[in-house]
Amino acid sequence: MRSSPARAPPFMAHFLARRLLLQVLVFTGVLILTFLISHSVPGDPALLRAGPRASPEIIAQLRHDMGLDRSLPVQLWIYVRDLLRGDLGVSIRTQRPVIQDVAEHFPATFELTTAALLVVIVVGIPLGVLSAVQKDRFPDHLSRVIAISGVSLPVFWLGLMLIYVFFVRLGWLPGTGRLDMGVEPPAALTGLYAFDALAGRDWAALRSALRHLFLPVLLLSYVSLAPVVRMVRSSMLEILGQDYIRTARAKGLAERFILYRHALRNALIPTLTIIGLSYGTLLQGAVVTETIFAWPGMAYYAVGSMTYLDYPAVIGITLVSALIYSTVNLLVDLLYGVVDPRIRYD
Amino acid sequence: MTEAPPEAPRALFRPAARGRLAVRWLLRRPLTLLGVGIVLAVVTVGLAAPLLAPYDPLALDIANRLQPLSRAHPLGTDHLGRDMLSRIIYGARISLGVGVTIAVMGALVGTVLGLLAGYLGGKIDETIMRICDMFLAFPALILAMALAASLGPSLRNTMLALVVIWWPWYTRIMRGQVLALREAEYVMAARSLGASTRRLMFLHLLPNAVPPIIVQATLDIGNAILIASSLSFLGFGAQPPAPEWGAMTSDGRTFLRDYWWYPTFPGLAIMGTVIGFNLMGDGLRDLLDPRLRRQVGG
Amino acid sequence: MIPSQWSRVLVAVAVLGLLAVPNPAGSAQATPRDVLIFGATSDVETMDPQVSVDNIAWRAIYYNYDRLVQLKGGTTEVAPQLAESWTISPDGKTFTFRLRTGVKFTDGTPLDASAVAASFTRLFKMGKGAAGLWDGILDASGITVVNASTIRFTLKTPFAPFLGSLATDQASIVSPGVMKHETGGDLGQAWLSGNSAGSGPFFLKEWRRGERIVLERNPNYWGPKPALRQVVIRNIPDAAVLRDLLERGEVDLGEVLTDDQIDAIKGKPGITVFEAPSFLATYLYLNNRNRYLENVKVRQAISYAVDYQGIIQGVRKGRAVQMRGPIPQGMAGHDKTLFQYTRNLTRARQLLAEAGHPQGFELGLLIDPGVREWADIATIVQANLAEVGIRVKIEGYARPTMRAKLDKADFDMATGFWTPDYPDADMFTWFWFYSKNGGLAGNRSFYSNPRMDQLVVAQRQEPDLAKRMQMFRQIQKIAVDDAVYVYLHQPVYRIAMRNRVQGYVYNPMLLFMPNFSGISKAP
Repeated sequence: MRSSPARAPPFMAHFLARRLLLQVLVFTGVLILTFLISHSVPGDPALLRAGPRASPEIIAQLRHDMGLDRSLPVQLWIYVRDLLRGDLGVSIRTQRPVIQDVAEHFPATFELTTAALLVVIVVGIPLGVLSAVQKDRFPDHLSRVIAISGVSLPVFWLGLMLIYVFFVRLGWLPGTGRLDMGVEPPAALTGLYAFDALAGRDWAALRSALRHLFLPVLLLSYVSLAPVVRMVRSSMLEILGQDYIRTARAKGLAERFILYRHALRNALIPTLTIIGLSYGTLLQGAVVTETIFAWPGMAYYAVGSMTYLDYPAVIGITLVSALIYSTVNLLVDLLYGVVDPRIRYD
Repeated sequence: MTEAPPEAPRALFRPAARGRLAVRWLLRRPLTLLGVGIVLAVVTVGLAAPLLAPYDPLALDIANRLQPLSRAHPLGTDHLGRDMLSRIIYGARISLGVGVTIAVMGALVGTVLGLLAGYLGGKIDETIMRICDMFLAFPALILAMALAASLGPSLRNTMLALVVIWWPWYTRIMRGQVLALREAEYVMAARSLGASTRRLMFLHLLPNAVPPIIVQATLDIGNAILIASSLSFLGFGAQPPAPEWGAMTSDGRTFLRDYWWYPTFPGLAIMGTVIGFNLMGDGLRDLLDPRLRRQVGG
Repeated sequence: MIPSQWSRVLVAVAVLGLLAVPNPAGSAQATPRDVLIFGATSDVETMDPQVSVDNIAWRAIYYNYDRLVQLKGGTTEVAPQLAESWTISPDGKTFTFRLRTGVKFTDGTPLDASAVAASFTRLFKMGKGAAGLWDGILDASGITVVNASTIRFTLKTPFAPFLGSLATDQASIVSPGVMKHETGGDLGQAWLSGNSAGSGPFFLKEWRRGERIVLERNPNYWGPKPALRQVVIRNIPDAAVLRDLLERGEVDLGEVLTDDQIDAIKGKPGITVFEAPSFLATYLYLNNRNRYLENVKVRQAISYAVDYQGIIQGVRKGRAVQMRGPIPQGMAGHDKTLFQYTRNLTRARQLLAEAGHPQGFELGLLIDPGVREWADIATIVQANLAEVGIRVKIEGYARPTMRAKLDKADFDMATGFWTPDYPDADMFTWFWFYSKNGGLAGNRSFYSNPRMDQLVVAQRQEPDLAKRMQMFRQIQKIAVDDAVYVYLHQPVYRIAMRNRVQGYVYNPMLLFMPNFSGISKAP
């Protein structure tokens, strides 16, 4: 192991620069790939946009306006140029700029995935630590069962069961949407209903929003728990078996002190990666979760657009989600690089 | 990064000894045993579907729609009177076929590319890895949906879309394995004896690098079944009247309250099958190399 | 153990648990008396009446606008709305309307003849699906502003159903003020897709896509004031959840529920189910350009092989009536004595043999698998035709792709729905059988028969009612003898609502558009 992580700017900057360059490269590839997908959509985009009644002249004009009569590389260039201006095209379905649709649906997904991420962290980490400490005893088996069932259960099926039990049979929790039927949404601040309601002291809306968050968040976090629990468990196990821990124990330090100060902190390093990757799992889980609960977020919009073959929206969503996903990975990589100096010298 | 060089795998030359060892090992791990049992059961059901299914899974019987569990129909009937048990049995064929195809094709493509990237290095390595990164930048389900939607809703297109998404993982694993094994003693020995590149890659590296691939592929059969059924549930995969488990759950969604068996059993079938593959895969991982746990990602 | 972390978890669980307490006052949660909560299983794509061709979306649009004429109550009779009176020239081609004065759009623009002219000009200029209703009948050049309160339409040819066509959603009068929001030559489409600009009893107050649409009472409405102050259309895609919310009283009125679900809640306390026959034609297109389907004997064989009653039972739980020819029962012109195909496998096989295909052949059946009814109909038809040797392959495509394939005749058979936009049998004849209407325009079987062409064009222009009815009889006979389509059924329209919903009036022309302006809620 190298010497202490002294702040050596040239190496750090070098690492940063390389990582960012890589990101740009990857994203260019993502762009090209998405563009190619969009052009394999069957059907004439101009016809779809103009509608079935449009005269041939209108369709021809639209083809020209959309740049469809140009060669493929030129179209790609137009596409990239528009993208850099923030123009993701116009949705065929809603007739609005895709960027506007995405922006409108974003807060709902953000609220859902962030709440689920919090639950994954708050529940997953202690569960993993508990498993490691109580290895091969009941708590370990229990957490293994939770973890395995989380990745084996079909998300859509579990969602239907949850609605059936908690909404249809017990009537404890709502089965659809973000708010009760008669409740007005809170004054818009961030678009996160729970947050806005809290900020505006709108208690009826807060209660309604939290109640509606419960089941979707439960579903989404349950299926994303497994990787985190597993990683915490195996990291803790590895660390707990190491020499310096044995030394600390031999020195007579309290078990809890050992767990916190040494083991957990070091176990958190690979856990960070997994948490970053969890965001990807959460985004994907959101697709089915939002569909089942009619949660009007980006994933819900995505499924609607894909079903409708609204190809500008399909491209827009794919790009935006790739951007979010890879940005999260980038942040995690950078954070990892800061926290674990060994990585920087790779 | 320092790490002890991997040992050449132990050679067990007597098949009988190997067999007995395997059984003893299995019996000590009830969960893995359960997994293997489930997988065997599902495979048997799938293969023997025509013999096991009491009815034709496509046979309509409108007069008997939405019948509850009975002797004639142990798992009830659906909204067109088709026997659920028969449909679930035939559904095993579809799901297994989908899962195995995706995992095997993804593993094949990914392994070859990973082998090339890891062994040949340099520009080839860079290119392949960048392409990998590109595909991995997308959340898998979104990309799968986009591809499946563009190609047209059908099970075949969904499988194609998922293979396209899946291969980068295998490339990464394989490349990592190759990089680690390249410097192993027996490889260097073979090289010094004058073995050609191709011989080195396929005869020496590949067999020893393959275990984590097998583990991952086993786990991925289950994952592929999950994602494929999710896509069918959303409307992108299997088309009517195919008895695919995800599509059946989706059809049954509106009937859940009064005819609970309709979406419940297909969902349980998916869950059971995936648990089986996951448990089996976990066990395989323990068997082939305990240290692999960290590499493959916990 | 790690007590502090666990206690954090426990606290969180406890807090969340408190929230899981069900709403007080159990079911029948009281929503204000002047607010109607409507549960909708499908979302709206655009609010622009001159673009939208989605019957179901019209429910959120129709009452934001007025039209020159309206349908009286639950009938197909035309009554004045924005037009107080009108005269029709003897040749049936010129309609002069006297407009009501003093009406303003919600954006303040006065509603006069030039506004009406501008509205129709926009419709024709955009040329979207909505404009198709007047193809070959009327275009922008036929609109004349006589004076501020008189407008004249000069048709290219006489068109008997013209007045009825002016009561459709597509004929909504849109304020010229939308042009203020025009960008890039779109005639205000981007803006109007998310707003309303009409003079109707309601206006669009708020739209959170995927969540809810709020229609608010127009305070300056010139007509009778609606009892409801607000209509909140909630997006509830899961019909099972909608059914549950109806039962609990959290939703006042909702559709579309499946027949199973309606049967389940019928008779439950507080629930009323309304049922009435509809004009929703459910049928199969048979592409006459297909090498097998071009032979009339093959088409007849298929018509004999389909299990009509089985489909009605399986897909509609018996709540439908088999179609007798293309013109739906209940519509003037329908011929009760017309021949109706019933399942006869022997006859079907015989016809196939006569056509030279005793061994059968393969055909594709195009559907949008997202429409559960179509998937079910296709499955049943597949099984039906298999019994006479025709092997059907079901091809599912997303709706836009399906429509594109239909338009290009790139299919063999397909499922379809058709509702009349105006109350005239012309909707089921000229559109379905005129050879120039091939594709999405209406003739989806791509049928071409000069005699039929002659008849369907003539009936449009025929002023004498008796002669017209005679023509319809002839049209229907050819349509059935030639088995141009497979005429499946007309379902019974059913909608569930809470007892407190009063004043609901069903109009078969306004399918899926409950009369929000006339509905009130009892205490």
